[in-house]
Amino acid sequence: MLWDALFRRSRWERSLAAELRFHLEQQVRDYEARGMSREEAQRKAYREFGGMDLAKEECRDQRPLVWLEQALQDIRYAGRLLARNRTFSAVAILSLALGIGATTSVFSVVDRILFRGLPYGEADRLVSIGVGAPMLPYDFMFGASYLEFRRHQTVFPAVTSWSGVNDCDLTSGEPTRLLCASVESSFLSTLGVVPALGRSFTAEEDAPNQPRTVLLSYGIWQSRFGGHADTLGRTISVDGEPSRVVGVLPPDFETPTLAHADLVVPQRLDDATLQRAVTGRPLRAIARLRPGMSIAAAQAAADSMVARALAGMPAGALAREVKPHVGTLRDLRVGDAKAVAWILFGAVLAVLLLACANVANLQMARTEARRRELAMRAALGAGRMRLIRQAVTESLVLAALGGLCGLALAGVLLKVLVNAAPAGIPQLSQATLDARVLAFTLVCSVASGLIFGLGVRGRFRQASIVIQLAFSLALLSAAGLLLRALWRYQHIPLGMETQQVLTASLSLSPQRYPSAERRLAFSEALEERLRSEGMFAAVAIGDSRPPDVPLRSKPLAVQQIDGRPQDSPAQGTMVWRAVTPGYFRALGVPILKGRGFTEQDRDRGRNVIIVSQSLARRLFHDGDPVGHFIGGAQIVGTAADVRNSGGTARDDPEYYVPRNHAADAPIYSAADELRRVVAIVRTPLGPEYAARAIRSTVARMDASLPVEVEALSESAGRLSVRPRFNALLLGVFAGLGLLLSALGTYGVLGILVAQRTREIGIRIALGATPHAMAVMVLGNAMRWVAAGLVLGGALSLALARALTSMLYGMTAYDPAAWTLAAAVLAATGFAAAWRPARRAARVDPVEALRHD
Amino acid sequence: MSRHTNAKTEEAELLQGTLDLLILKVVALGPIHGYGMVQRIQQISNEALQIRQGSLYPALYRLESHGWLKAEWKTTEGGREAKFYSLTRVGHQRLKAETESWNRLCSAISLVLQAAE
Repeated sequence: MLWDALFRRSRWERSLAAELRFHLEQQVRDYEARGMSREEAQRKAYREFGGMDLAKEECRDQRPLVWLEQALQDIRYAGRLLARNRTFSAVAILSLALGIGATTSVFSVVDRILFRGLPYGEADRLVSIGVGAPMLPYDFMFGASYLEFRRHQTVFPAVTSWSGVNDCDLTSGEPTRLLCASVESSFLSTLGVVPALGRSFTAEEDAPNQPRTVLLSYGIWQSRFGGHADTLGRTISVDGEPSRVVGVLPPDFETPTLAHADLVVPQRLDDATLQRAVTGRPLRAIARLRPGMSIAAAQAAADSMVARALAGMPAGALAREVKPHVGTLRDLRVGDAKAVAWILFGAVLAVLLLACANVANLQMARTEARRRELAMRAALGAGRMRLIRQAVTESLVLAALGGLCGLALAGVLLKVLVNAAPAGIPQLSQATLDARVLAFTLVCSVASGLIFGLGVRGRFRQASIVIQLAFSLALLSAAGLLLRALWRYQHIPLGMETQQVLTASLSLSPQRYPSAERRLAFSEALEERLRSEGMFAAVAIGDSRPPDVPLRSKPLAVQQIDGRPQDSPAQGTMVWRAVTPGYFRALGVPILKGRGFTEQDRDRGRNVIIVSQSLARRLFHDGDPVGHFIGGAQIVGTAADVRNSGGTARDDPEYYVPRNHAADAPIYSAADELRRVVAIVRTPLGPEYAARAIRSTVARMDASLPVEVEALSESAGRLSVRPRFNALLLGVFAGLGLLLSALGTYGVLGILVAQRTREIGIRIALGATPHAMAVMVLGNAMRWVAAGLVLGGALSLALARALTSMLYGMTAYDPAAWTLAAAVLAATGFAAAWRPARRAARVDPVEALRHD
Repeated sequence: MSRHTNAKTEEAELLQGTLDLLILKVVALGPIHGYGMVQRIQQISNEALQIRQGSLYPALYRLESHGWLKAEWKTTEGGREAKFYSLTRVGHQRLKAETESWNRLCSAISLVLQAAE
């Protein structure tokens, strides 16, 4: 029966007919046998049987796999319909593809940043605890307070600390610069991370003067050590110090801030060391909450602990400044990628909304147009369920086609995103297309098509076009703002001449260079040797180089000017670098007032500084800063502003101090000072050749020291990578959104004109000019655009406020960007209405009146 | 055939689902065609149960697609070709199960009715 039912329809049908005929004939024969006339018997038999066709139809419905057959029928029918309405199909499929493609690819990226679970055990119970300060972008604690906190807190089942990620050098084999995360021994266990191989540190190993131990990241274990199990127990040389490998981290390990780490080493702070560390290197503390404990409860506990700790101290500035902050680990790690991710996410939702609105609109318009066809099919006996199923099938066929195109688009877009992205967007390179998201967007678009295909009507259509246009305007103005900000950002003068300048960065390990004297001696020897090479026009040594952020910063407000506190303390932060006199010449930074540094400024006891122009303006307004004192240092000159934000924020005011010859000078007092050395040279030679010369000079001094040589033009070029990426992304979305609203306007107007062909024909027959008809259609579109502009203006205002952090100091209320966005939208609306308007003008009244 | 014509008081309306049970039972007695089933059911029930003929065949096709009945074209005593239905093994089990649950239902209902009197 199955075989017959599926593949031998006619035979099956014949059998059914024969069976029913047999039944009736038998009945008639019986009645005749009881004495009825043949006609009477036939009438009675037929009457008693009931509707023959209905019975047959019901039998057919019992056929196995009948649903499959009907589905195929529906799909064929849907395919025919879609092929016949090419405009509708193309617009709908394109909308779906754009919506699904864009949403899926971008969501696949931000999902890893915003929503993916952290690779820690019960990660939602982990919080970061610390005090905030203007100088540091993260919450921290100093050693002594952390020790106090760890000893006396009773609220958290576990607390741990780490000191962030720093450069370190793998000095066995070929010297390599790596990144080391320094952590407390309880770090991994508190985070719930189990090493893939071996073990974590013991508390004993996490103490000063203990033989050093190290955990390898999975990546380094694979690439440097071939993934061999016998790496465990081997001794490698880190910063010149022998270190025993005790474990390998799991492949998905990441530091809480997502900073990349190749090695995890003990921070080697025992209680005694911590006790002494009242200031100095800040620690980052992480605590595990009890199950069910809220962040608010943790915050309250931290507040009361700080209050207790401060109870014995005199009330003062410190007490007011110290405010503990408890935040989730997730907040900590997404940091500044978060704003970008949320804005992207919003943009993507807007695009999805536009796509859904398009499909819904088109379906609605079509359902109205097909009212007659549906009524006729219902009258001819099509069941209500069957008609609904037909509509659903049609939507599904559309969705399948749109989904396929969308999938292809998503793959391409994701590749583009990953390639265009600057470093520092966490985990971007691991992003893959997310099947769940694909399914979600598909369901959204199909559902919107279905709901509206099944007969929601009314004024929704026009409202939805207006909403689409409004969202497009918001996206456009946001993209416009970012592009303008990018343009300005790229046109801010660098403040230095980057051509023909090379920089060489290295970091002196505390093992090989244990004292400040040794480190200073190395950097002065390096300066001397580079100078004596004779191939460099200028040589300078610094601790960092622009446009990277200087290592040190201070709040502006605490500085005394000429021995007095400031009358009205300046807001913000200033940053500083310690440099040799050649610095300004090597980088081509002009000295605007006063003089540059001289060799005498480096003598013991000298205390002079050079301020940047912006710092001078902040502290002295229009007055001449030269000769004044900041703290104990006399200002000898003003230098032009140099970009120093590293490309992530606005530039800060800066000052320079000369690198003193005395290792015990106050500028070197902080721990780890003098560790980083950056040599800056200006040279007429080719960069390759000069780089080789620098490398060999360093190698002659210390062969195990890794050195990074880079052309300054390259580092400066990285400045605008981030803003360019942001602008690119939003630009793509604005383009997509615009395209979608144009498609929507075009599609709906087209269907409207087609529906009103008869009316337009009558009007033309009654004397209306074709021109007037075109104007009518265009006017329709322009009314929508106008409403969209008003609504979109409000949306843009709200969005602009959210964008502020990405504008690099530019105001969000940029009339040029906004006017441009509005003009683009209006032009697009007009263009989308053009073809339907022309079609309206070309309606032939005779043809139109004959039209159905 | 509308509901009104067979709404005589002595003819019971078939409960939902009982038609299947009746068909299985009648077919269990031996291979039989659709018309025969209608006659047999009316005969056994002393004309009390009237089968709506229009709904018999969809039911037969449904039972067949469930695999409880199998069908075969055979020649009747009168020398005509007719489609004869018989029970499959699964059909036998089904009949047994349905009969049991029907009996349970009946006795439960009659218990309630007795108690309510």
